[in-house]
Amino acid sequence: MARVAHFQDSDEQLLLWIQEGSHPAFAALVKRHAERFHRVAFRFTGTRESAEDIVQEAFIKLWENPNSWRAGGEAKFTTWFYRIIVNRCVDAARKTSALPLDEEIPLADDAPIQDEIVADREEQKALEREINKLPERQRTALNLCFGQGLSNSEAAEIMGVKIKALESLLMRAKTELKERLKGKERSWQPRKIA
Amino acid sequence: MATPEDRLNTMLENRAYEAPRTGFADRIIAATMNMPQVQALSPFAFLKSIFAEFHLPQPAYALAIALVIGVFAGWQSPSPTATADSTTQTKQAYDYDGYDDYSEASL
Repeated sequence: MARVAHFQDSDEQLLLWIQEGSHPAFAALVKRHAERFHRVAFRFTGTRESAEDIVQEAFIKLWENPNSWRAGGEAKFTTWFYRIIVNRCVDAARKTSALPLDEEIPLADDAPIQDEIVADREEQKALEREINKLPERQRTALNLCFGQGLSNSEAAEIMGVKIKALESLLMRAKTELKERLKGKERSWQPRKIA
Repeated sequence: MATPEDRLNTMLENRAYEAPRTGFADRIIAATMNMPQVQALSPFAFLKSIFAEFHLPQPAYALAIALVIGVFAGWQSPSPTATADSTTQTKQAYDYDGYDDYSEASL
């Protein structure tokens, strides 16, 4: 009797089924995680399409060679796959060595009041520009620890470093960002958060 | 009042994000729909695949088996010529019989 993959199954169980050739299990895994991995890829690439390409290629490789994930050999599927996505993003960045254009950086649309929109936009652009200038590992630490819902220990595991090392990378990155943005942006003067 | 540290943390948490286009997961699923998988080989399966490359006709197997049986039978029943039989004079012994006497006489 053919086994049926369920959306409630754990990632690891789905992967065992994928290794047996179950495409529905693969579909369940993709639907569950595609956007989460797209989010982290977007942090590195800065464009929606590039992030989609990287995530799609990684999932296709997983389908083609599901035995690249070994049960028991890795802590969690998500940790392992985050590492793959990050490595692909870093490789892609090294090949192109092109930063996202300032004009193309998408902007958050949660500006509190109308007259601050332009200032916030400039602020976001400046932040993205400075993040892209950070050393690779500092940038990776920032991208994993903010806006991804990952704990520091998970981010450290993805990067293959100890938590102390990750915290050191984060501290240096933030110090560097504050230094570079100081005097450039109005927001670096303390202000009330709405 | 928010400190610069708080402000930076807030901005990092709220960095802009563009969600993937509609049907992103479905496109990945569709792309792999008819894609074959690479199956991992166990050591036994690996050896089996190597031997599967040798396509020998059945007579070749029969010949190989006959040779093996022949060698085995040969080991089991050694030829009488292989043993030293004191009563049997070999051709070499016949040819050299008296050679030593001749050599000494010529000296």
